[in-house]
Amino acid sequence: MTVPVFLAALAFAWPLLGAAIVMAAPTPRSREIAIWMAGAGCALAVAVFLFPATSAAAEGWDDDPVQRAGRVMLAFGLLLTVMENSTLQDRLLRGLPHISTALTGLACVAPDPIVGLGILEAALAYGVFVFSRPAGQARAGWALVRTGSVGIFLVLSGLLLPSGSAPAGLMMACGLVMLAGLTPFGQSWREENDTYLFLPFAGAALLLSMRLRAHGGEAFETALVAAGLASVWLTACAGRSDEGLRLFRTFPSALALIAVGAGADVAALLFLCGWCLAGGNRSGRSWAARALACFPPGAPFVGCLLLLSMLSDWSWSITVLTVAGILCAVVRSVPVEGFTQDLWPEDAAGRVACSVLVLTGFLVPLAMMLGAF
Amino acid sequence: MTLAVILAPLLALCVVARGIGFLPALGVVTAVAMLVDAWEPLQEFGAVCVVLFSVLPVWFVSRYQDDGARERTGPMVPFLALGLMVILQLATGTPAAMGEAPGHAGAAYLPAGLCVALAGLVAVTCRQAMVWQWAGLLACVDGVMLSGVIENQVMVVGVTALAGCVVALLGGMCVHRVMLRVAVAPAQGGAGAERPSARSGGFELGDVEPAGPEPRGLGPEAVVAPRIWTEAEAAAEDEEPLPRPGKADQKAASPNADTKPETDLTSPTAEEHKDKAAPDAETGSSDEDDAETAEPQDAPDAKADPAEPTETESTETGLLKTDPSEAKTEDHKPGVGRAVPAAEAPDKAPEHTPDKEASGSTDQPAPVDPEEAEPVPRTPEMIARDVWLRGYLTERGRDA
Repeated sequence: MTVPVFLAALAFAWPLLGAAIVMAAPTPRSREIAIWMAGAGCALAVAVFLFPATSAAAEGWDDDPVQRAGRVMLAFGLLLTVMENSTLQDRLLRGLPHISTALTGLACVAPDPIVGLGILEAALAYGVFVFSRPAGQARAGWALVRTGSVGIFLVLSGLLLPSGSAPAGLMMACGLVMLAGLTPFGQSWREENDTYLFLPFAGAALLLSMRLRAHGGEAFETALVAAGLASVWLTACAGRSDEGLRLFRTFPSALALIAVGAGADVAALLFLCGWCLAGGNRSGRSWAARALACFPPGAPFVGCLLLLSMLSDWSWSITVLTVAGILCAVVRSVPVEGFTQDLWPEDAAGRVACSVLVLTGFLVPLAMMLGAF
Repeated sequence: MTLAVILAPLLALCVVARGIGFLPALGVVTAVAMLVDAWEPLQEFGAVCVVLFSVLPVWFVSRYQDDGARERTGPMVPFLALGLMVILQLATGTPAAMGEAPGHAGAAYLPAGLCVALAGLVAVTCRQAMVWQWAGLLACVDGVMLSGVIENQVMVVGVTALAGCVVALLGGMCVHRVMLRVAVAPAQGGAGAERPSARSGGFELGDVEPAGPEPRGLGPEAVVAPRIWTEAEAAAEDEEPLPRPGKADQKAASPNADTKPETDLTSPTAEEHKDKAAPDAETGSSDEDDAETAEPQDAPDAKADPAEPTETESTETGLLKTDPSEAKTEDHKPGVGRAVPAAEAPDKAPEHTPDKEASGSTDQPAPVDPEEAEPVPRTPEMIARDVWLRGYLTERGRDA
């Protein structure tokens, strides 16, 4: 076994190991241990990105650089989730972000996207089991299972239809939009701890959608762009009401789906970075709102530029619609204090997130120019 | 193409239109459709999975009471599913659509599995009752697995089996937490032996009565429920504004009833009286609305005035599920303290078929009232039951 293969295997097993250690550790020390384990997981993911296991590609395990970089984003999302949490009493809840990140990472790398869907379903089942244990949460858990399973069955149905046909593309796009939790179409995830399951789950759905594009054909791409545009414009129309803020939480995934539909994988990767580090329930904070609204510097801003450059090759009318939608959404939906306050966040988690966002925004175009993607 | 393949979408439409009752038939037909063409390990696995995922949930749900959730979706939902099936057939089933696709050169076929899955998706999306949504998801499992077996895609079959396990287990957990068990009372005396009577599993009193310290044989005049009855009646009438003559009569009679403070001692007697008074548990008309079924306190009034009550009693009893085979499985479940049914009855009055035990209890909203429960020595089973009930009530409250 060569070193890159060992690294790759370790990178997948690491979050599971972290979950076991965090769940076994005594409660007062669990947060510290979780931060260390998640940090080591980030280092491992970066190492796997830099030293890919070339033999794995021959055996069917995916070795696309965008997918590897996406798993780095998932690992940083886990680190941030752990850092911004206080010490949790519930052992299962404590281990949930590690386990869901491990399973979603495995789903992204599985040799067949169908297997990836199965692993996603398993991650969903575990997360729902943990979430719905307290009294009064049974129906909320059932809503999660229902929406996630509907998405997975839609994608499976699309995969069973002949490749490239319009019904297959439409079904797969609908399923992926539901899995990615795009706000008007997906489910309303719960506010308080959606980052535990939702962030890696939606990120994995975005990464899987890149791999399913080959089967979906043109209808798939068009449907993804249409769904993303609809979400962006709904965000713009909803304004700053509660509904608008809820829509704004999934703003980067809407842009990422447009990017996947337009074939701009690197742009989708940058939006995924914004989603993992600033999306979900972090979007209420000013630094996160600024990053999500594609303000420079930051990964979503660079992703926006890349997306528009790719979209203009694809279709001018859609480019104009996208630009107008993004501008309207930024003007109407970003919280007012998001423009001015809190340029450099106070807490450590926010600082890490801002640093990673800015670094990714610089490094990814650089790597693109150097031919890494 | 076999008859079973054609029947499967029809049964899926029945699931969309009528509910989970058609799911076992759908599962069996789907399994037959898989096994007719070939008898390979893949087909056998798919057939076994489909039958398991279709029969076991229905058996599981049959042990719980219908939660009586009113379905607000209109009658158009099955037609929506049918329309989607037709569109799918037009888009994929015609030779023109499939001609260029490899593997289906020129052959017209019915995408039966995907039609079943579409019907299931429509049921999940459009129906509001949790059990119905569960049935829809399980129909999806059937359909995708049938399609995967026909297309010979091992991965899809495996992933669908996993998803089916997840849906069946988590759905079963949810059903267990939000619905009430059906329990059958043991036959009391020779007269009651041949007539099954069902009660809600949450409120059995009969199991603890023999051990209870209270004296038996209190007359019906000791029943104090009319005061409670009027309050619950008023609450129910808020929901159901239409006046009904039977209720009006009962209301008029209620002020004359005895209003001395309510004691727990009355309930056993009331229970026995009612069991003897109810003519036949099976013959109740089940078309009463929710507000009517939500009247647990009808019964004591009925006993105070034995001339009029049998109609309402038989209606209530008939609404409960009766299944004699459940008696043995349920009897080991101990009853709860007196206060428990009292709290339960007003809590979910609009949704659940009540049990008759609530007649002898108060209308205190607290789930477990220590003062009420004091006279009865609390066995560990009762304490466990209280804990369960408290969680259950929290569940109902939050979900509402």
